[in-house]
Amino acid sequence: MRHPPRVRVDLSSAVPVARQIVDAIRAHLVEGELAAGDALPSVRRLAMELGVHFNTVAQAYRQLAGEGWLDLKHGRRATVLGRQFPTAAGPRQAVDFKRRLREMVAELRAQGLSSRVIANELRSLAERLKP
Amino acid sequence: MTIARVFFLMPLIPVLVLMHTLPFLPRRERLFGLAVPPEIRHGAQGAQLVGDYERRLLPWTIAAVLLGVFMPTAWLVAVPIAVPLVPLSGACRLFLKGRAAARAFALPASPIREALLTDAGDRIASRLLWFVPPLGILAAAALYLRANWDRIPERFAIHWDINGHANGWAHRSAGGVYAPLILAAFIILFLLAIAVVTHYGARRGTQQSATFAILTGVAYLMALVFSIAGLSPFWVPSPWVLFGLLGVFLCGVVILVIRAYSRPEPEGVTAEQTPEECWHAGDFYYNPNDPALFVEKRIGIGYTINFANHLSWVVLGATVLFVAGMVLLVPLLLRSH
Repeated sequence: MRHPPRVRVDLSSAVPVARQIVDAIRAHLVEGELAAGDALPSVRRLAMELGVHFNTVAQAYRQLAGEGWLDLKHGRRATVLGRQFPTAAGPRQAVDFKRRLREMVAELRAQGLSSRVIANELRSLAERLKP
Repeated sequence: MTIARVFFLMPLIPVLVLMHTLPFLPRRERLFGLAVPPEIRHGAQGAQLVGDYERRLLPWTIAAVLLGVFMPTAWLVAVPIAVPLVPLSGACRLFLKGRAAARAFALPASPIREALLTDAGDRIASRLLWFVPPLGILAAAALYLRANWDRIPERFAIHWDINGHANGWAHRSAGGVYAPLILAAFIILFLLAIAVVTHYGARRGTQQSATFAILTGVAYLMALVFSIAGLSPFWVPSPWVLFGLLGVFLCGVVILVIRAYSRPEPEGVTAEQTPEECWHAGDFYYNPNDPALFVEKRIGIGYTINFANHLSWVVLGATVLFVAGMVLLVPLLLRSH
């Protein structure tokens, strides 16, 4: 049986919890751990499990629905949609991606994570991205 | 010792078992309900604190047993309520004392929270089918009574004193005959309602499964006991049948509770963490930032209400209405003839 993916949030982090939820779920969606048709927990359930306000989870789900990942039809559970990736992102996205990656690597290096660990993780991510 | 005394002393047994196992029952990583490092929980300090608790509880246990065994027969009816209060009050005091001592080792509440991204198991409808057989038992008893209505005596015993002599009677009327079954049905529906609200209002985990299992067990016990009571116009069972039923049920609950709480939480489920500052006057939880309606009690067993959640007052009101309804319903049914 496939183990359901998890969402993990740090309530003490400076990153807003809604953003953490969006990032975590999006990562599972992109990596295929959440497939089209999979049902996510209800807003109430996820908020309760994480000990955060309902609005925080609702906001995260709405953002993912806005990105085309989730179906949030009224009265139904949030369901993963079969989303097609855009074939060509614009140059702005590529520049933004580089900047964010550099900033994140710098932040992790500043926190003491070794270059080797970071490089290994990036390599493993790149492997998983191969078609 | 008379059968009546044994019967009245029976509730003391699970209370004593529960009080003496209290420090061991909550989650493995906790000591007196507090999250502590494993080396403390399973090390010398943990053993000493638990040992102190057990040693100091012993006189309370002996006092309760002596009180139960030597209480005058005329006061025997008070035994099931008064005697368990002795170890209960001692255990509460000692538990709080142990908790105060364990606080020195308590880990700070983790800001990390995890949850499984699935809705599997969140729908309760199929699990509620467990409540159908108890209601079916009551329905079968009612059908049997209906089919044999003419054989029911005009007046039959429904209550007996401690010597086994009948001292309460009912008449052959719909209310008089079906009263135990109607009461049991209400109790089972109330248990079902509790199962539903604790399912939707509490976090996932072993506590939730254990609560559901216990509520289901109680529903079966209620159905059996009240069906037997309902069939009293035809058959008055030996007290040993009731002892047996109660014994099997209590053993089942104790085994279930120990098994449930000794299991680790499923992967991806964070053990419940309720901020210490949200607990008031011992066991009252008030946390407006926590969307849960029910949270684990600080002893780690059972649920308590989050009083900051508006729905908690609805749940409390419904419980009070249910109890008041039960108290009013019994005389109403018995008078209905």
